[in-house]
Amino acid sequence: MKSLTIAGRTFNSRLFIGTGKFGSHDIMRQAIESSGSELVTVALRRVDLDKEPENDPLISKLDQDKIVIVPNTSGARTAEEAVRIARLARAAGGFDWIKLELTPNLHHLLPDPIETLKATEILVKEGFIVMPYMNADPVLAKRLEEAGAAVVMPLAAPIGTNLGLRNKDMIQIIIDNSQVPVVVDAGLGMPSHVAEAIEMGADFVLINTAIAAAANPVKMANAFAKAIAAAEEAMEAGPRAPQSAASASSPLTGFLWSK
Amino acid sequence: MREFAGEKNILIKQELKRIETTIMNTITVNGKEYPQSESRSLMAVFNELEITPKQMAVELNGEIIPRDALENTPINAGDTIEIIQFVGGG
Repeated sequence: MKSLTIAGRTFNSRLFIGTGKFGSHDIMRQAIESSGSELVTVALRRVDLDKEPENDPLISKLDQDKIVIVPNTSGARTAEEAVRIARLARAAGGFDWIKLELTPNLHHLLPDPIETLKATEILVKEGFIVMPYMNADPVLAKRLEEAGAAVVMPLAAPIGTNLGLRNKDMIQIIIDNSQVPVVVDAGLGMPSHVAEAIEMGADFVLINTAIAAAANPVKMANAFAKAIAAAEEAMEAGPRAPQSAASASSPLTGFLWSK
Repeated sequence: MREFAGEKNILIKQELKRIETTIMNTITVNGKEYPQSESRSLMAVFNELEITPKQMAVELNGEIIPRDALENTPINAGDTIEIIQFVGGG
């Protein structure tokens, strides 16, 4: 297994958590803490001046000594917009990690590969640690890696669908060829999906909706963490490769067929 | 740069808004208009809105203003200010 390091930072958990859709900041914090996740994503939005100023901002709920905060560029449709968001994130909180999310079509929210590559090239030059969300295209993964992306983040299925590993074969090719860590992102809905991704050799998974929109997000975050632990342990245990023919687990010799 | 539907119209609208707000002696903060009665700093705008610029980013007419420059950045009628903060996201 590749070491769980991104841009010099070592992680003790393969679970990354998106902070959207949680019922409250406290539930979000509890879910993150109890799952052991050490990287979370956040988004940037205009301050709503019609509401009371929030004295308890999201970021203050996260222990930055333990957790890497990665702003995303959600809402951006072009490289230019994504670069603007990245620079704003850096200005707002000094964050150098950025998850590129360039989704021109609000219906399927699939990422624009050309704008994502352009934004990666620009932001890498500006010293950002770039984590591009991308369709599960092995050629694009290579191009992003060559452009200096710190990881590649192929999507399992469209954002928020909980459909699981629909792009499994393409993600396997990406895993087999990647020189940078692979983070399977988007569409993972159940712990079994995550276990499968880790068994395939993925380095990390990113979960948001499946945890945040569960009836009990803290419990669900723990379930995902356990699935990852189980898959990791299985991989360390050295699984036997699948065989095409049956091979008996019990001895067939004995008294039944003897003359 | 690829153009999206209505992008040119948005730029024209922004320019018209800038002219209008200059004449009307107002500023635009996050899409809302506020009177610009006297000369003041960007920090004064934050104080009036009762917002602490902690973990926030500020753009003045599209340019990012570092937090330590808020006191010394003057605001003029017609200016557009964007105040951005972190929210939950995946």
